[in-house]
Amino acid sequence: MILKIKPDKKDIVIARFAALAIGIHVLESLLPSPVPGIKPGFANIITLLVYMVYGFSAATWVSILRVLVGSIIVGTFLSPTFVLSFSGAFASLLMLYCCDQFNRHYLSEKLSVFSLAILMSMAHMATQFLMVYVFFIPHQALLDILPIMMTAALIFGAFNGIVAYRVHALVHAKVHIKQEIV
Amino acid sequence: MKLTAPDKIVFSLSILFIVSLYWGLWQASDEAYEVEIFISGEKNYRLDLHENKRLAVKGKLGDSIIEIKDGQARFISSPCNTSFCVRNGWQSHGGDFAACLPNAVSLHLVGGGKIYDAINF
Repeated sequence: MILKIKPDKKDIVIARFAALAIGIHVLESLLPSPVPGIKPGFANIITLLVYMVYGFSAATWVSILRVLVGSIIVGTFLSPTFVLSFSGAFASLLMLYCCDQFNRHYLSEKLSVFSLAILMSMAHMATQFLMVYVFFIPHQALLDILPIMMTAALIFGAFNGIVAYRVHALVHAKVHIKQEIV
Repeated sequence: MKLTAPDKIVFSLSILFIVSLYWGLWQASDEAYEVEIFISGEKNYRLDLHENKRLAVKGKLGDSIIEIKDGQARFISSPCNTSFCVRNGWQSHGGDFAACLPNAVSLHLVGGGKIYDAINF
């Protein structure tokens, strides 16, 4: 019996964005980082963009696919690095879900992608730190590096948020212009 | 880029949070509140630094006399040749220690922030 799975339009969209995020992730892994665990995380820009245009579940798909396939390509699948990466992604998606619910039901003025990016990146970093503290280095001295890591998370999160905002505005502008010409 | 009111709240809270991390975790506070006295590597006494007293601690070679006064501790005398322990003087910060190695007696101050994460000697 042959099972044929036909990808529908949504599958294709998610696959393309996931591929883009994976590409960014792998390229970024070439960049050296001063402290292990501090990286710009540019692939999250794709996650944020997908969230803005397609909603939370699409963003979740793109994010999880990026972590899984990215780790396979880079070669850290199921390694301690992968555990940290996956738990960080899980936490940031949880934060995204909470902000999404807040935006939809509780807030009259909405949180922009800038705040989303900052909150997600800080949740990601905090969870990774917790995992390291519990499973790898349960030493009091590890807390000394927490402020630096959270500062980096804030800065890079803000940067990614601004980039996501700009790209989104650009794409919308082009779509708008195209519609006008037609 | 347009920042809404919730955005500004989130951003300021984040800044506040991170500043509080630096403030809470990076302070090396001086005050020690207890002293632990080890004999031959085993913790024998754990005394409050604010109860002034002098005690004779029996080690391998004899009695080392340790004084605790006003949040500080020191060796007053020791039955060793060189008395490096006595010459170290008053110990007052968390993590500080003085040791009489021939007598196998050492005192370590506990409390405040540790300046050193670990010391090997």
